[in-house]
Amino acid sequence: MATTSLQQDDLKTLDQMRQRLSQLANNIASLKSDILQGNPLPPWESIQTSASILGNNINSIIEHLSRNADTLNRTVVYPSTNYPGRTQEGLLGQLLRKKLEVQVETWVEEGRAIQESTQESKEDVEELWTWGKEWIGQRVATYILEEAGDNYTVEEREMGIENVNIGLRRKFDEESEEEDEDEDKEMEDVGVEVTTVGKSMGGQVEYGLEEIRRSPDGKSRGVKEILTFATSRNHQPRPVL
Amino acid sequence: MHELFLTAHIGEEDCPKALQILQGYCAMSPTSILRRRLYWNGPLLHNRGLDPTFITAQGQRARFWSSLSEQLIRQAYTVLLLYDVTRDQFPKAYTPAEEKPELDCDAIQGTLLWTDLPDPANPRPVNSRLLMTIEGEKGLCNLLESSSYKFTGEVVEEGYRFVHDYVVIYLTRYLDVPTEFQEMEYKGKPKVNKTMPSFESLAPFDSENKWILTASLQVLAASDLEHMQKGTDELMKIKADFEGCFDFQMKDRHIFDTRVKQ
Repeated sequence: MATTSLQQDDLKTLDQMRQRLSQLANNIASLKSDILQGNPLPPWESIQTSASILGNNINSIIEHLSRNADTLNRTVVYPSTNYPGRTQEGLLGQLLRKKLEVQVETWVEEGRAIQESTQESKEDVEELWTWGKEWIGQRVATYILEEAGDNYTVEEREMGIENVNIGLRRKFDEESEEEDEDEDKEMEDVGVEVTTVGKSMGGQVEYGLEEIRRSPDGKSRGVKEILTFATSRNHQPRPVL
Repeated sequence: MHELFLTAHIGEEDCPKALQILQGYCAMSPTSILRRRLYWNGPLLHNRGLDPTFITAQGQRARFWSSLSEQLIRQAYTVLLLYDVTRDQFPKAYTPAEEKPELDCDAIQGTLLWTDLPDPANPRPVNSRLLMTIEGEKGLCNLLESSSYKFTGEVVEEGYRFVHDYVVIYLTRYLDVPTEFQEMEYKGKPKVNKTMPSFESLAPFDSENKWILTASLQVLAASDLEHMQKGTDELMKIKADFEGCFDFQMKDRHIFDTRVKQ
């Protein structure tokens, strides 16, 4: 026959449980008193710290409960024969009660409901992501195939493309492919092709840089020579004395 | 002022790209600069600096002028007069002489710029030199003439200026005024042009049309070592940022020699 008394290990488990519960109760009490009595309220960092301590405590209790679920499920309280049942009936009832108190039962129900709802919402989010993934894949493909070459957005087209401020002075030709080709050709001809960029960039750039071209009969100069020239305008070799 | 600077150059074909990169880097549109650079050589003999009667007439600004004059007295230097011009001050080609817009440099405000030969080798990895500018002055050509300076010629400078924190990044090229357009007092003695030649007739000094890129900043005094170090660090940061793109270098200081030689 199995022994009815508790083993050393069981006692240890129960004692650890008791310690953890009392710690949790203390923590709750101290946070409660801090909030109720503290004037001004404790800084948010300290409330946050307390909350995370509470969370840790609850976690450790849950862990402890599930690790020792077997022992604890089989542990029951019973009164000794010499228990003063008549005088201490209230305490006896409290100790032997197995059914949850009404208030506690409501909390447990609330907890279960929250658990279920979070599971549901997780599913919702996952569904949304899956849908989003599929949709964006198709959309990107459409964009690449059909719309990427367009210089204007749908909104700009609705507004009328002549009203769009493109920040360029030159005419922004819609037929971009042809334009590219033309530009390439132009660039081959022009000595200095800064003009287009120069003008489109700043707005304030006014000089037509294209007017000055490489001089075919000019001399090519080294950087050193250019800098010397800029410093003192000496570019003829100095007479040797 | 003490100027710290690094120099790089870029080919003609890279200019648009360089402008775009700099515009992005500095988060600003460049300021376009077009100006005449008039070169004046100080006298090798009887160099008395700047005309003292002019300096005493300057009132509050006299101390700038006399400190500049003290520098110029040490040695015959090339000094520069800078005049901003606009594109429409260059006449169109084949404009008759009487219709060309007249530019009287003495009647408009200009800037006098003097830079010393850069400092000899120092532990800093950048060029540094003493620099003095006096801005917004009229009658500068007159002053230099009365101080026995000799006008040697003119270059048109075209550039784009960017500013990044304390550093001015300046992309520029130098356009030579062709000899046939240079007005002469008599053979061998040029005088400051009253009108500009057409813009198209200017020729890049370098036929390959290279552009010079300068990153520079100014420190109040070279003796302020902390600021000199900070300035150097700023320039080195720019150099590092553009590594592989623009090759900013410290150049041989004799390239920037402004002393007049015999």
